Amino acid sequence: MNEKGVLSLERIDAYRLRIPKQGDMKTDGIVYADAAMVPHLEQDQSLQQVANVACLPGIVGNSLAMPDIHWGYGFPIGGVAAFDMDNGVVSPGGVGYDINCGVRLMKTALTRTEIAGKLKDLVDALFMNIPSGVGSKRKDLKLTTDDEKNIFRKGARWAVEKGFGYPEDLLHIEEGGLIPDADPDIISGHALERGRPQLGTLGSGNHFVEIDYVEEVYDAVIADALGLGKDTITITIHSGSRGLGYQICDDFIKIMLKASQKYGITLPDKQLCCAPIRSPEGSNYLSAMACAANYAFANRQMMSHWVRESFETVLRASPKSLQIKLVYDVCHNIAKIEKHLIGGKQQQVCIHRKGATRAFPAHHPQVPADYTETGQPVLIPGDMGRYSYVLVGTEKAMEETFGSSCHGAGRLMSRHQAIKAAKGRSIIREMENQGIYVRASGKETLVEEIPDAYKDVSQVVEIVHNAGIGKKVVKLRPLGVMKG
Amino acid sequence: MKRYEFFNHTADIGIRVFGSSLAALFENAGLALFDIITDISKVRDCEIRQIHVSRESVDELLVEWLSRLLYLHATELLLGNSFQIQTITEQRLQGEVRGEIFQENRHVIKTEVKAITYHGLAVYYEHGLWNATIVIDV
Repeated sequence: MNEKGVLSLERIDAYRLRIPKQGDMKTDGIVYADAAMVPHLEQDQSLQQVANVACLPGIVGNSLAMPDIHWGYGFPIGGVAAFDMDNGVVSPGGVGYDINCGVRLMKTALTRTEIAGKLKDLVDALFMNIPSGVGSKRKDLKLTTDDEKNIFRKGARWAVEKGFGYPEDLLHIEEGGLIPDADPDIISGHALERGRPQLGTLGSGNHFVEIDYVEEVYDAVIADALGLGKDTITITIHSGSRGLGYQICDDFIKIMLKASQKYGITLPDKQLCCAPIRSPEGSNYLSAMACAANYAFANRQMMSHWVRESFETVLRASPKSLQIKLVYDVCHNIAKIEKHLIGGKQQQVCIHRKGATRAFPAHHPQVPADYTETGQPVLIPGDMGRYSYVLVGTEKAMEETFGSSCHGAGRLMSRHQAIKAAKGRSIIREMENQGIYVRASGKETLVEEIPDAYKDVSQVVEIVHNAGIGKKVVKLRPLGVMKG
Repeated sequence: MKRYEFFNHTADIGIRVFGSSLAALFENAGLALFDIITDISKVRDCEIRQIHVSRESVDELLVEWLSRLLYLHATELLLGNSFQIQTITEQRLQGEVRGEIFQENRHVIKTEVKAITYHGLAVYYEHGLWNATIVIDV
């Protein structure tokens, strides 16, 4: 750091920047970014946030940031960091409030021409069937506290047992839709109360359900193995653990602020408060986080069921003919205990992925059998007007980023800047002119989510692909969007 | 005197709050929170909720107060439009919020607030004025 407190930066290669260890940093920061991204990064505190994470006790390897890095709270969004199980920490700020916010991709037997003329009806049906917006819920769904606790213990399996989807769906969810060691008894009454009415709801902001088609195929062999041939209709769901996760994170930040003092951890930012992984506070957080993560898996599973029902009703077709199948479901706000090769030895570490996606390669034991030869699908939604990508994990991601990749486009404008930029424009009309039918429940959601508020996701994906920490498979183009 | 202003934060919303007293600072912060959530001019004050909170420091107390208001919004769909702090120290406060329960045809929800963060959190007294900086996760 120079005397003005500005971080020094070094370019490693065309796609990577190093923040050399300086000040209280225990390791270097590595940011996946090309030269064009640097001026944006220097305008906010995101690089400082990478450096702050590097100051935390027991960090293993580098403090990493994916190319969709932007200014968050605590960790940067796009941040990845691994911690030693014995000397390292776990931090709720390294996961975020929306625990297991994630993306789910479904494919269909339909092609683009088969739903032409039906898009408005399909999006309207999604809107009817999937609750979004404040206070909305399904009238046919009433949960007791015992149900809620069962969801924490069973994750997506709970939803399948209740008739939401099929057992084979579970095979295509990260961790099988169930993170172990969930302990419902440590969840506060406030968190239970916020979570109960919100199961099966989309949420608002950047959460969405989107109908796309495969516009471009980059790797035909892998695309075929994933069932994503050109013009295939797909559905993407982006949602998380709703008020339950927000409240659990909030509850545990209070606990971790005290724990940081108790264990003598100096914090560069209060939001990075943490506790040793094996301390009572650390292990309780991981058990509470697992409850929210499992709730989020169940949440996306239920919404998938309503997506299927919406398509069956509007197209008057049977499940058998539509073949709406789960490609994959990834978490992008999560802490996981994983084994990685570190210094030539297999070591168990606690990986925080805050706005980053797991990207395990072909033949990794945790990749589902169907994807043994392809690698784990990595789902990268872009903004609602341009495109999204499907990638697969790579060996290089295992070597460099603890098997992690980016999670989205990353915001370019603050929400207020976006509202200003959208003034006087009809966003719905603009989208319609591009052949995209959009509906939103929140008044300001649409203007906050205008495509120009986001980086071009293709630039983010190019960096990931060229740096080798993910491999491009297909590009998806939106046709219909339901925004929360 | 300006009671609060928003500042740009890429993914979230930053608020700078001002108050002639610590009580006024907390009251204005409550107003800023609901200004993010709804059009507060459409909210009538027909409901009252009492809030008692305590924390170890004044900045954490501010997060606790706002988080409790957010909890009332999340669980009861309460929209607040007037706030009164009855007693306050740097560790403890007793106050009330007045407002109305959300009704779809009467109120708009501008933004869903997820949480009150501790990132860049600051509460300080300078040149005769209380100031606070808070980042809201939306």
